[in-house]
Amino acid sequence: MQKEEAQRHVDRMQAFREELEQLETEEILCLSSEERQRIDTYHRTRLAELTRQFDIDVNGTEKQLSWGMRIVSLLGALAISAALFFFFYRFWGLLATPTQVGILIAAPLLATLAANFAARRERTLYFTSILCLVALTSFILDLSVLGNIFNLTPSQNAFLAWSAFALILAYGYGLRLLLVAGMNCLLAYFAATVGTWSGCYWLSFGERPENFIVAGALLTLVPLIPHRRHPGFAHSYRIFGLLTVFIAILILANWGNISYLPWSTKIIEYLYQTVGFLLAGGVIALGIRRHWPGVTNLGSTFFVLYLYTKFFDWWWDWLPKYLFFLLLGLMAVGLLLVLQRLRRAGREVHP
Amino acid sequence: MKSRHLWLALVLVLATNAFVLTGVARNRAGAPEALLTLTERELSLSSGHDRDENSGVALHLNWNRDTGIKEWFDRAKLAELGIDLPPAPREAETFRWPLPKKVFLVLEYEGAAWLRFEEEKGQELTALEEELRQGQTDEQTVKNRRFWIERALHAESRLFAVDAGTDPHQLRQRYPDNNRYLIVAALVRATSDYEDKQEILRGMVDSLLVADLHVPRELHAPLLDLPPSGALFNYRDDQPKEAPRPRYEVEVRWGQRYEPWVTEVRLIGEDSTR
Repeated sequence: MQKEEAQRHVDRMQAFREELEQLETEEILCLSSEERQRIDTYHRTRLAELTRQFDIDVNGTEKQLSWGMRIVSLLGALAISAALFFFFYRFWGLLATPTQVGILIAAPLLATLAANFAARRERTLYFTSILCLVALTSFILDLSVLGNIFNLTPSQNAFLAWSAFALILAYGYGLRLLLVAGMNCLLAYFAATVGTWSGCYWLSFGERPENFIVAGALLTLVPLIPHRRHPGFAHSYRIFGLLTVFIAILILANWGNISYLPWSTKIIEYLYQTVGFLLAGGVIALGIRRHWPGVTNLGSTFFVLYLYTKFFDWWWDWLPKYLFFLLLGLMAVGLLLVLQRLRRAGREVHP
Repeated sequence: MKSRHLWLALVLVLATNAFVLTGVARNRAGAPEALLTLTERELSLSSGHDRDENSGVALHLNWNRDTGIKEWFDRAKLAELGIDLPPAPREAETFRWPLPKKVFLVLEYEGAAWLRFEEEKGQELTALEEELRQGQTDEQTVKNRRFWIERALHAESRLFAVDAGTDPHQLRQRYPDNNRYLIVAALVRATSDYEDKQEILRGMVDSLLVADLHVPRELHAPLLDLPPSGALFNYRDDQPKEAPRPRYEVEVRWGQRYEPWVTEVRLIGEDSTR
């Protein structure tokens, strides 16, 4: 069993207790004392087992505290990483080249070993998460500064190395933060490599959003590889990949002149607007079918964004501003009614 | 973490560093691809605003962005480099410039391009003085123009871009003197100029891929107490009576991968003509 599954089980037990209380209050259901005792004993034992094995939240207060700890852990990790970065740059000029190289290589190795040491001693993995981010920062610093010391020609392969390192740590400890860092580096690597296929230098990959469409699409395919140990990771790949694709399409739908396509700007913009709507609709349908609420929400958000940018194109210049925003509001209400109707229809089919 | 993941992470760090350092060794193996002694004019000391936070010393490689590049970096050269220009846009469409491309640039040091530049500036100075003699201009204008000409002759870089290509070996065969010609990786792109009311498509150098040279601690002592070059070369015309002279010279080698490294740094004496 993984941590997410354990947390869901605890949440179900809590929800069950609350619903049982409600049913008893309304005299719908009355359990005998023996039945109640058996359920309580089972829940108590199960809760003790799960809290012993995993770092899970047993009530709402603990959930809030956990969120706070995650945020603090992230901020702490970023601050320590920045301190490491600036510390090195402040003192590196005082060191001979072999010493610089030695420190650069040793830093990520030591940080990785320290993260492993921390993970063996804590269940919560907050300190492990900080040390893993420090390890990643050290590795990024390592390759960047080696590039400076030896005056190396920049290469996108560094992103591949950083991504691989971040993903190894992410999968090793089940850390979402390192997964996001790894996905970012992987995205940069894919986009830069796709950019070089057109003959341009990799550093210009940001000037053509289509590079990100391909890269984002590749990321969304990663969940096809089974993620039994980390089912939550598959969801992250999907969301991140789709977000990248949607943003790239949004940019091209409004600035067609930065596309690879050799057509007129207007045609390119209409094409991407159409693709954007179709893709958003498809993603909403897929999210509903596969019970991926995050995916559905993402598709809905971008569907509305694309719609609003079209309204802006059509009406902003010639409608009075109050009327423009009133129309947007009425459109939102209309969409709400449509979605409500769809939900009711769905309920009638699947009561 | 399973021990497999731990070992993977450690091996990845070591393997990546080994790969990088092997590349460095390969670059520096054998005879240098180019070997030049450049002065502060070509290798300026980086600005001081971040010196407190960065104790490393770096020199910026400057090349003279003289208009002479227009004579050879024309449409034909762009085609040779594989930069395809799109057809002229229709109606209100904007021109879609191709993205920059990595090529190898030939930089000539104190060669024909520099001599031509010196001659042009000298002619400009002579023409100025003639205009003053004929009353076509005033003293202040001449003084200002002379200041910029003197600056160009004594403070600007003597490295000029003279050619570009996609095959550095072919370029070296065309320019075999590796004490005068550098071959460096650069980004170039297509651009346009207006001349005689016509739009002329040309190439331009966006940037050199390795423009900042790290100076190892073992060599940077002569540079430590010097103010950055920007403060020196951006002097005002009401300050020193003559253009500043370079304060140091640097021996630089370029290796088999066309990546440079500094091998010596020397201060220049006051009586030097560098």
